[in-house]
Amino acid sequence: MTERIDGQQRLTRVLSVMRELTPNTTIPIAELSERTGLSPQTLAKELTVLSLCSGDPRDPLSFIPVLVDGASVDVFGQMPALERPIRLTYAEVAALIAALEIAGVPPADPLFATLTSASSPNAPIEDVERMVMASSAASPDFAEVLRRVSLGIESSRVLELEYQGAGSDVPQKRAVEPVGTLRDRDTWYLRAWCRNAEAERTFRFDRICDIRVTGGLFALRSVTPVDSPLATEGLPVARLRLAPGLELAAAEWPGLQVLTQTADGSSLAEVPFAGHAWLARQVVAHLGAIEVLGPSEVREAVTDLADDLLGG
Amino acid sequence: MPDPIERVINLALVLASARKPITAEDIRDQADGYPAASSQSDASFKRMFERDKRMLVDAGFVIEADAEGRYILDAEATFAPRIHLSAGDRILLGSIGATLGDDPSFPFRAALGTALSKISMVAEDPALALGQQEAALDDESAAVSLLFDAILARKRVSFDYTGAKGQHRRRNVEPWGVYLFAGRWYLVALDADISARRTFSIRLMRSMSVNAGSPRTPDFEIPADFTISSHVRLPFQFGEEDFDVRIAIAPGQAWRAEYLTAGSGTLDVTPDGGRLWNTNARSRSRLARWVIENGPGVSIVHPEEIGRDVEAGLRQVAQMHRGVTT
Repeated sequence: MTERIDGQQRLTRVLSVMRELTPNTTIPIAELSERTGLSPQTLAKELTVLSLCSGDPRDPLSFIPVLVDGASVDVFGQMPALERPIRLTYAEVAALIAALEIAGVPPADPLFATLTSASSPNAPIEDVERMVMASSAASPDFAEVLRRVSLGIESSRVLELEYQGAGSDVPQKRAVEPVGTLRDRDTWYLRAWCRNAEAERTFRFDRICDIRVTGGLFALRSVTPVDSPLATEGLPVARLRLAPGLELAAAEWPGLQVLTQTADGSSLAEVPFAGHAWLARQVVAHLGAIEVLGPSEVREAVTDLADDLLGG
Repeated sequence: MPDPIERVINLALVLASARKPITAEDIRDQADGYPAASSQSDASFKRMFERDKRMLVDAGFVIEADAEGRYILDAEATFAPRIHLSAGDRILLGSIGATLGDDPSFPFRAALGTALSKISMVAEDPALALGQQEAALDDESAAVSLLFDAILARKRVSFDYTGAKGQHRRRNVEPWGVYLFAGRWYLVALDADISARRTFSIRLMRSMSVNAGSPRTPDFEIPADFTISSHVRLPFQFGEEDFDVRIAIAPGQAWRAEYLTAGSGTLDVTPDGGRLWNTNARSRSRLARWVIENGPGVSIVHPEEIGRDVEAGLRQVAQMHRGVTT
């Protein structure tokens, strides 16, 4: 598919490529591609444009000193001007604020002020904050969890978690080797090798009660790439009956398929599930509007959870 | 014919390297890409120059004009200063960039990428980058991105929408702000047809279009007293009812209290170390569902009848799932 961007986006892109050009170096295109997120073809095109730009076409020293040479780009001199990055625009400040809020960094954290000190006078932070808010992970501890997880990943150190699974009332201690972080449907996950389970596990950030970066180092293991912690391929499937008129949001029921409607107006559906606890809680929360038809162990999990909540 | 972006970069280079204010005519002569005066009318040149200048301003360049109409780049206001990031902040930002770069539900991915790239250049310890950005934005996030651009440009937006009462109609709105809650993005806007402020779930919008007329001219202004934070609501705070609610959070779950309440209402510590949360609700069924979804250890204290309804529902669920299927 051909990429379509407007002139403004293109200008931002070309300026961002320009910022990556360290004077008097030869940079592999592949490395530049990784740093900018642009394809080698797009980079070659924009670098060619830059090589034609100058502050004065009559002065050879005012041209941008770049030459695309096969798989690398030769920056054969100093930038004639624009050697420093432009301050953050309105959209960039908004993106940073949204990202920090999503990561639970409170507005009072000095990091906010540090980053926004680089913003343009045309993008006052208080004006941006009036129009966008993404602080769904509002726990003051959330950013600290992310900081510790990130430190564990960066330094290859074992993390000790107190983790409360969806089916457990009491947090359990886990020792994990962190691999990476994922965000899916506004929930953050830690991907790790769990030393207790001796298997790869995904842990929801909002169920981590406590986390400690230990002194223990670990060697990186080969782990399965995961695009989404909610991937449904290969999972067992539960059969459901949905009350007449009940529509379930696909975002909350990944992989749900409504199969047919019965004479009384109810629908029969199937949904993949990774654990009984998650599915049971989803079903119980609808207070009788969903019945699990099978498998029987999920029906039992639903009954057990309803009894638990009734204090039985 | 030269690439138009080449002309804009040339203009930036001319302005950035000028040591004193320069006239538009000087720029026409010096910046490659502008046709010579003999082959382009002054009016055409002026339009082209203003368009290019506008692009630079939107990219963050601060271009001043003096009393004689000469231009100069305000370098201090244009170029970012050096900043200091601690090692911990750098690692945190790296994690945020890597995670959101791979997340198709983060609508501001492109702008975050350029922001982190700029910060890398002005921080003492660089190496910040966004993830691979390979996956396209999902539909909801693409719509958020479009709406945010409309908010910044103050352009009217229209879309098809079915409201809470089931009424379906095309909405013509002035978009004022967007917020994320529990995985969903919402738009707060003035519904121009009924002159009332409304909150819309962005994933339910269909056939959205932004007024493309006069793109540089705002269609409206956002009221000075508007702040998006005062409009953030929990799932059970949408609906037609309106009542106070008190929810108990058990001592063992108190660590989740601030996350669960998202700043809504008041949160008091109980003698046993639990929390008592006072807030408002607008839907009994959504409140009941929310309490169970966010359990264990979360229960409705007031209104008592909703607590009783939940108990009755739980008994029905248990009975329905005991033994053979119905």
